[in-house]
Amino acid sequence: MIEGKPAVLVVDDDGEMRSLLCDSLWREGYALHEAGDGEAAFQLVLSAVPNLILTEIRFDAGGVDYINRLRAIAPSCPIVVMTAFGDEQVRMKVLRAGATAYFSKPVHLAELRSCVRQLIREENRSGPQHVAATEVAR
Amino acid sequence: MNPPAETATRLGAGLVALLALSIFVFDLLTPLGWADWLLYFIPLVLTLQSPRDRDAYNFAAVATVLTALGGYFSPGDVHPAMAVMNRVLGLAVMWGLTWMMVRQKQSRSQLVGARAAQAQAEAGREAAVAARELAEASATGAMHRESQVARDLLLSSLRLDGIVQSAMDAIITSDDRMQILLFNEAAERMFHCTARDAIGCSMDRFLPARFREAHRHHVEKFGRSHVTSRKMGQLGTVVGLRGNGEEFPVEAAISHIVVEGTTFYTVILRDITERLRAEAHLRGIEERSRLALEAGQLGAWEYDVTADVVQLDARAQALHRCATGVSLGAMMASVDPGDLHALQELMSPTHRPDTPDARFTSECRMRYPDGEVRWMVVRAQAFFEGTGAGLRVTRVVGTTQDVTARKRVEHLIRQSEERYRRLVAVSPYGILVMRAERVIFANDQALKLFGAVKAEEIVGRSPFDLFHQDSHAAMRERAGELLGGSQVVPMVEEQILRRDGLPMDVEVSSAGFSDEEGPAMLVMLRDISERKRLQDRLRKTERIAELGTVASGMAHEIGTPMNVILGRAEYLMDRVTDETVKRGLQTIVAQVERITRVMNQLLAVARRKPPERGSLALREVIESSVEMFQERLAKNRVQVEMQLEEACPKVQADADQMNQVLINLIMNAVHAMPDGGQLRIGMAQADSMVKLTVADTGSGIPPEVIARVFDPFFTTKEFGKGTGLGLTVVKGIIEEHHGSISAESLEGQGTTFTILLPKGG
Repeated sequence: MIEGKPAVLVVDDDGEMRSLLCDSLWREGYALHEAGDGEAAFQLVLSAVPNLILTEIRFDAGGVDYINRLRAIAPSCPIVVMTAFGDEQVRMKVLRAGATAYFSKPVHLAELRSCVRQLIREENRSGPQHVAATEVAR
Repeated sequence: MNPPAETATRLGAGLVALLALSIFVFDLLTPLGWADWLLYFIPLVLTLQSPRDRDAYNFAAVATVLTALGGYFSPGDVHPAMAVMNRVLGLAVMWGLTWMMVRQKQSRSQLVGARAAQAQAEAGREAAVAARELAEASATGAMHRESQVARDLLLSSLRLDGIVQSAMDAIITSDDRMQILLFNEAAERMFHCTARDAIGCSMDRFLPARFREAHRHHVEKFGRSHVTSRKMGQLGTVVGLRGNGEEFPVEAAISHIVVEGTTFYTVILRDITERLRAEAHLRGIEERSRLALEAGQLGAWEYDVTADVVQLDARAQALHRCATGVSLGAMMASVDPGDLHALQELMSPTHRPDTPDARFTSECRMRYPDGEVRWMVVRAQAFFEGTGAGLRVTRVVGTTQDVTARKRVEHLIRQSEERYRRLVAVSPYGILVMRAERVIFANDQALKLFGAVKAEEIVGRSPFDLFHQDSHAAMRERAGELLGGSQVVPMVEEQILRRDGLPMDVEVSSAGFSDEEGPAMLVMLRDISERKRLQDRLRKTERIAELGTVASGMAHEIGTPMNVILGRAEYLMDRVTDETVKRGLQTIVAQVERITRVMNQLLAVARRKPPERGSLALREVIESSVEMFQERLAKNRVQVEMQLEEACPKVQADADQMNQVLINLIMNAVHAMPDGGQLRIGMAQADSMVKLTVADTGSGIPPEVIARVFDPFFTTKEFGKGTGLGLTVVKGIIEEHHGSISAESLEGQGTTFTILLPKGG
């Protein structure tokens, strides 16, 4: 974790996707953390709440409950959920569970980046939280 | 005796009787010794005036009896023997006196008669003289007329000959030895023999050998008996023999005349072959009529119009429940009042025939006193007399037949027919009856199926013209089975050819039957095109749903790699400057976007949730949908014209789905008008439905394409622009709402989608 940079936790069970997202967000100057499933992501957030969580929900220990759990331990952290060909119902459930934004894959990186940027800016204004990520879970 | 004399005689007789009675009474009252009985002499003298001598003796006898009685009953003053003696003496004197007076009277009258006879003889002599003079004069006259009589005799003889020769009957005269003396022309014709040949021959020549002896015997007997004429028919069958050997029946009358001691026989013969034949024929006719009456259970009657009397036979009497010899009114008494008038009209004496054939037939009901009602058929013929205005019916001859049983059967048949006719008429199946490869009947539904207006378009045609060629082999096989005795064959699906040439799917059930005209086939057709369409649609829907399910399951698996591809392409695009590479990356992005659209449509199908229908104001949905596209419509230079009826009722629909429908249709319209145009959205009430129209002014859809626009994956859009699912989804949603959607298009003028949705409750 690099001090001063906003911390972003990227969670996806697909390594390529994670890699793409990290590549895309790296240029924005965020401190990036990665997790491969819900449990790893939960542990990471427990150790240090990031400035933003960008996560898929379809993986082990995922789903709408996973968002509920994240929201419980990080009440003010923006959570951006992406899911492949998600429909309205999923979107509603996810948002109701506490997600801040919802994207249906495939998502244009530009859109995603601007959304992340926007949310981090808002998050900073409302009071920065320091993310203490001690490890990056695979 | 002249009347005054007769009166005087009667008076005299009365006076004598009165006197006698008075004297008798007087004698009874006076004593026996009185000679008062002598008073009887007074009336005795009076009786001598009577023209009949007998009267005096009669009175004398009466006076004797009265005297005796008087003596017996008178009171006795003298000795009875004395009295008897007196009276006997007196009576003897009376009888003697009477005898003398009568004798004298007779002598006087004989003298008068002799004088009269003398006078008569004188007169007779004078008459005889006059007669002799007259006779002499007559003899002279007769001699003068002799030549005149001879002429008359000749003429008479010629006339007789003419009559004999021209008579219709054969006349043959023969002598007592049976030698023919006369043979007239009718005899020549009858026996096929000329008079020249016949005269001089024996009569035997014209009789069959077996009858000759009997005939001779008869003729001799006839000659002996002095009967002047007698029918030979009494011999039995009289048979003649023609010249050609043919035997024939004859009727003969024979007479004889004796001239100068020789007996001549004249026989008059009539060939009755024709008559017997006619009689036999008539008997045959009568017998047949009787049998016909019997067999037809006919009651016969004859109405004498002038006398108003009807004669009925036994059966007619039973049918009319009346006796014979009654009036027409009595005969018609049992006829139902409702039918009576028509029948009377026909029988009326003033009835005039409009046609020479004055026959009529009428049906009527008999309502018998016991309440029974039976149907009769009355057939009759009227006979007329007179001409012109004087033409009148004099006689009506007719029959009455009880047709109740037939009526009942007819009624039952009619009812049954009516039932079947209705059944056939209302049948949802098209029904054809075929015989000898020709349609002989088609019901309305069948006409409808074939798209025919008139029965003639179907009836009379070969079934092979009506069915699709592919069905012909199966039809032949089926016909063979049915006509071969099989009653029913299994139901099959075939195609008929409608009058407009289009094939139609039908279900065919066939049954064979046979009637008096021979074997025939009953074919029932049911339109299954709708079912087929539904089946097809169901199959497609199932396929789509299946696809949707697959897509849904794969969404995650595909979504992430697609995102990686898209993301990497975009990531690289930001980093390369080489235009070729950039275009390549743009293609990747575009293709991913395309796959994304397809996947989203598929998922829309898969994820379609049951609609949550409620009363919905379509106007708001339309307005919001248009609003959503405002920017895009403006960009494509599409003008929007909305004609939304203010008073249009709400519909029963799901808002999200309606939104989706409108979005799809609007998108479609926008795509159809790449160079701009007009989008017309209309909403109006149509009966119990709400009609929504979305029309564009685009290029239009060709007819061969328009039928398929709702098919899944059917698209005319440029590669990469359409998914081919938009209209399928729209149709699915509308049909789920129990509505309908149709598309009409004119090439070059645009396309109109018309949606009908049920009104909201």
